[in-house]
Amino acid sequence: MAANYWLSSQNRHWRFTRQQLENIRLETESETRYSRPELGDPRHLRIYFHSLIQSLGRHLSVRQQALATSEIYLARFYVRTSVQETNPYLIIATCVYIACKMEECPQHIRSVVSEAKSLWPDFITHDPTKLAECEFYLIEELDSFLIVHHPYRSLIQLSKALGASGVNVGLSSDEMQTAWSVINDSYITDLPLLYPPHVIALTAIYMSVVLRPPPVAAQAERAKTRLQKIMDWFAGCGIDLEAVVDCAQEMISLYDVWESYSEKTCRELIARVFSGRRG
Amino acid sequence: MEEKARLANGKKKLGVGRRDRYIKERKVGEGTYAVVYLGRQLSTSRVVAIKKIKVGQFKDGLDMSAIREIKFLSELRHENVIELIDVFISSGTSRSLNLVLEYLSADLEMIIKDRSVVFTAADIKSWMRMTFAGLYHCHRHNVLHRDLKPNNLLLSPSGHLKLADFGLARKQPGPYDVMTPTVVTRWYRAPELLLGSKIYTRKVDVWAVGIIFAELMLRTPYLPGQTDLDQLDLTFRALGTPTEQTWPGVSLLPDFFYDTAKTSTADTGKKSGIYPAPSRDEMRMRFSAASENALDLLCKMTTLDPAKRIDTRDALGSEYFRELPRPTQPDLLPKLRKKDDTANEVKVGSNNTGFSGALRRREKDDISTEAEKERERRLAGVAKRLF
Repeated sequence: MAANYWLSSQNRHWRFTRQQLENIRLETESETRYSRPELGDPRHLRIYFHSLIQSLGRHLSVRQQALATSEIYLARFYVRTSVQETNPYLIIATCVYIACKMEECPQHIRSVVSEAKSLWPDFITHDPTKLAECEFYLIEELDSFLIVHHPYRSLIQLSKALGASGVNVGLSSDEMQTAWSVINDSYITDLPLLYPPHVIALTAIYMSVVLRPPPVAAQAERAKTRLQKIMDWFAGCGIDLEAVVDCAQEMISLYDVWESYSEKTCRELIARVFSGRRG
Repeated sequence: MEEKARLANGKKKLGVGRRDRYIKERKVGEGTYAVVYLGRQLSTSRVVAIKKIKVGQFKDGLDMSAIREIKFLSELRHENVIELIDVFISSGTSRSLNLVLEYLSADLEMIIKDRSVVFTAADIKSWMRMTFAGLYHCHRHNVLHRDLKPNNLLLSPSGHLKLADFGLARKQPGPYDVMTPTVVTRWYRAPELLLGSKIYTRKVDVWAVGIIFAELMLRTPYLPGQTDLDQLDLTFRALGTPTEQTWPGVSLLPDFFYDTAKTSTADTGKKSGIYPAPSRDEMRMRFSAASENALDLLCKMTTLDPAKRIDTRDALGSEYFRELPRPTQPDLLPKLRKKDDTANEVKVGSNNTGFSGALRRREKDDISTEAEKERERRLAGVAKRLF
C-alpha cells in the first residue's frame, strides 16, 4: 500500500490523542437528535459490531485484509456520527462493500446486500440502492481517505527481525498465532485511531510472549532469559515503550469487558433504538 | 427513505461548509462515468475542475475506477501528480459524488499533435524528467499507474507536467496475485502484457514512458498497432522478437506462440513474426536527433524483458538527465497557442473525462476528420520506413 505510513492520510488525518477523540465524541453526542440509549459499556457494542463484520465477511469469503480495512472504516465513521442516528447494519454492510473494492477483491453489490439481508433480515432490505447511496456518505464521512495501514505486515517484519541471527528469539508459531489474534481484536478498541500500526504489532508480540501460560518449572528459567532478551531488543529499537504498555492495558481491559459481553443484549439494544426511532 | 433523511441530516454539520465552497461554471466534457465541469473554489477564486461521478440511480455502487482514483489521489501528493483538492457530495435532487481536481489546461498529446509548436531536446528532457519524477513517486508508494500515455500527462499553465487518470491504478500486488493484462492503452502496452502475462510489475509503466519518450522525439506515435496482434507484431518488428536467451521465461507466457528456433531473416519474419533485434545504427537512424545517452535510456526503457528493463530510480539517475542540454524550466516550455475556445478545455483524466476512456483506443477518436486520416496515412508511411 502507499508505502510510507508517516506520510499517509492515516497518520496525518486519522490519528488522534485520547483527549481529541474524547472531545470529538462528546461533540458528536451533543449534536444527536436522539436521546442516548442505555448503551452500557460502549465496548460491548464494538464487540458486537466486530462480530457482525466477521460473520458478513465469512459469508462472503472476504479476505482478512479487507475485513480489517472495513473495521477501520467503521471505527472512523462512528467517531463523528452517533450510532443511534444510523442503521449500523447498513453501515457495516457498506464498510465491507467499500473495503472489498478498496483492497481489489470487489464483491458485487447485490451479493453483499443479499448476504446481509439473510443475516439481518429486519434491518436490510433487498434494495441495493440504499447501500449504494450509503457508500457516498461513508466516503465523504471518511474524508475520502481510503488507504489503511494494518499492523499485520509490521508483525511479520518484526518477527523476522526477532528471528534474525544475533537476536535469535524468533516467535513460535503459537506465539505468532496469538499475536495475530491480538491484532484482530485490536480493531474493537480505539487503538487503530490512536497508535501507528507498528506499535500495535509490538503490543501483540509483547502480549503473546508475556502472557503465555507459565511453562513447566524446568523451562521457567529459559523462558525468563528469552523474555529478557526480547525486552532488551524492544528497548534497543528505540520505540515508545509507554505506548506499548498503554496499548497492552487497553487490550487487557478489553478482554475483561468481554467477559460480561452478551450478544443478545446488544442485538436487542440496537433493535430497540431502531424501533424507538421509527415510532 | 427515513434513513436517507437521517443520513443527510447527520451530514449537515460537516457537509455544508464543504459543499458551498465550490461552484460549477460550465460543463466541459462528459464520459461514461463522469461529467467534468470547470468550476471555482469560492473562498480562493481558484479555478478547479469538478468531476461529477454519475450514478446509475445508485444501482451498482461506485465504479471501481472512481474508487481507485479517490483512493490513490488522496494519498499521492506530488508536484507531478494531479492534485485531488476535495471530494464532496452535491445536494439537490440528484445526489452525486464530486471530485475536485486541480485545473489543467492542456496535455502532452495536444502539444505533440500541434505542428505549430516547436520543441527542442531540452524541452523533451524536461517533460521526461517531470514524468519520471511523478512516476517515481507513485512507484515508491507501490502504486502502478497502468494507463500512461501522452493524453494522461497533463500540463499546468505554468508548464508543470502532472500524471492524471488513476482510474486503472493499483497497488503493486504480492508476488502471486494475478492481475488483468488488459491494461494500458494499446500503443503504450508493454510486451509482457501483450503476451498475456497476469503477473507483472511497475515496469509496465516504464515501458509506456519509453514509448512516450520515442513519440516525443518522433512527433508521431512510435508503435501504433491497429489490433492487439498487430501491436505485438509491430513491437517485435521494431525491437526484435524475444527468445529464451534474451528473455528467460518468455516462452511460458500465455500468448507466446513464436517458434524462435527458426532462423530469423527478413523474409521468414513476415510469416513467423520473428524479427532480429535492431542494431545500434538502426536505432540511431530511427532517432536521428537523439544523443547517445538518450538512445541508451530509450533502449533500457524499451527492453523487452521486464526484469532487465530499467526502473524509475535508475532512469532518473541516468546519464541522459545529467548531460547537456539541461532540462528546460517548466515555465519556459512551449505551450499551445490559444486558437479558440477549445484550447481552454479542461483536461481531467483521459480524453474528455473518461474513467471509461482508460481503455479506449485513441485512434478511434482520432480518425474523425480528413486531416486526421491524412495524418494516419503519413504515420503508416513512417512505420513502413522505419521498420
